[in-house]
Amino acid sequence: MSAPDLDDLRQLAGRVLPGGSLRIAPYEVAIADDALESPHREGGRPHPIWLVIASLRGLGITVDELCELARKSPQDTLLIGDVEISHRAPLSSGTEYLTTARIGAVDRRETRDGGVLDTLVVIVDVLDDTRATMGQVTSTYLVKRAVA
Amino acid sequence: MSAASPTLGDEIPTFVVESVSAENMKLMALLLRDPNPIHFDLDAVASAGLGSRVVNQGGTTLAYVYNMLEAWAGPEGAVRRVGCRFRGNVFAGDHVTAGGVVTCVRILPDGIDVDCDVWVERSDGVRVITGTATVGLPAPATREATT
Repeated sequence: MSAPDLDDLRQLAGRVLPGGSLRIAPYEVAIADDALESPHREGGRPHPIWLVIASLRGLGITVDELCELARKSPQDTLLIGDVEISHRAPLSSGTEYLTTARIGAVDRRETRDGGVLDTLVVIVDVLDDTRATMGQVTSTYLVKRAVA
Repeated sequence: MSAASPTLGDEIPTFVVESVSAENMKLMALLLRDPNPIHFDLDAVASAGLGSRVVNQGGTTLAYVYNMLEAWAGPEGAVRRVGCRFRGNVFAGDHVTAGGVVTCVRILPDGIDVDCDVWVERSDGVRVITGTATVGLPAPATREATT
């Protein structure tokens, strides 16, 4: 199977994803701290990686649906490349957070072995109930196209 | 060691996970709503050509960097940003070390921002995450007043 047309893929740039909402329960904070090998924080404050968890849970689409948008075939491989995380304020448990998500740049490059690697940037903002930004997560997904 | 007076080249005390837990991966799969079976199903791991041990979530491995930075910065500090690249997998049972070094210290009116190079390294020497981070620390006078 050949890689999809790049101009078609680039139509995805700027697309707004459904986004969603998230409320972190105190028991989730405690379980995550243990699973992340982290001490519990004062006042039951969530681990800062919850911003990344919120960005994944708050895309508004599943990873499978994201793969569909990227025209990933079963033979292609989806990888996560880079992530850029900006924290404006710590998250807290019990607060309802909103997430907005959009697709940023879409690009393609050739790998050293002559393969095709498509990159898809997804930007998620996490907002509190006053719409103040708590942070932003920018993830670059890589779709390694199967050799035809 | 804390970040009392960070200077260029300071090594941040490492955060070590002696043996990455497969059970913790299952918990994180639930919390992340991550259905990828390579984190909990050995048959799926084998089918994906990834060997015979389940694969740690990238976010969990990245959390070890935060654990290191938070322990160093103390309760008055805050991680402001992290940028990283995922370069390899961490498997159940792996011994991993999060490390960092101070690359820039900026004195601000209300505190100090410290830039660091950060990484997570497996015991075979492979750096599975490399990146940079910025940690905000209170001004020294504030820290002295609160300690």
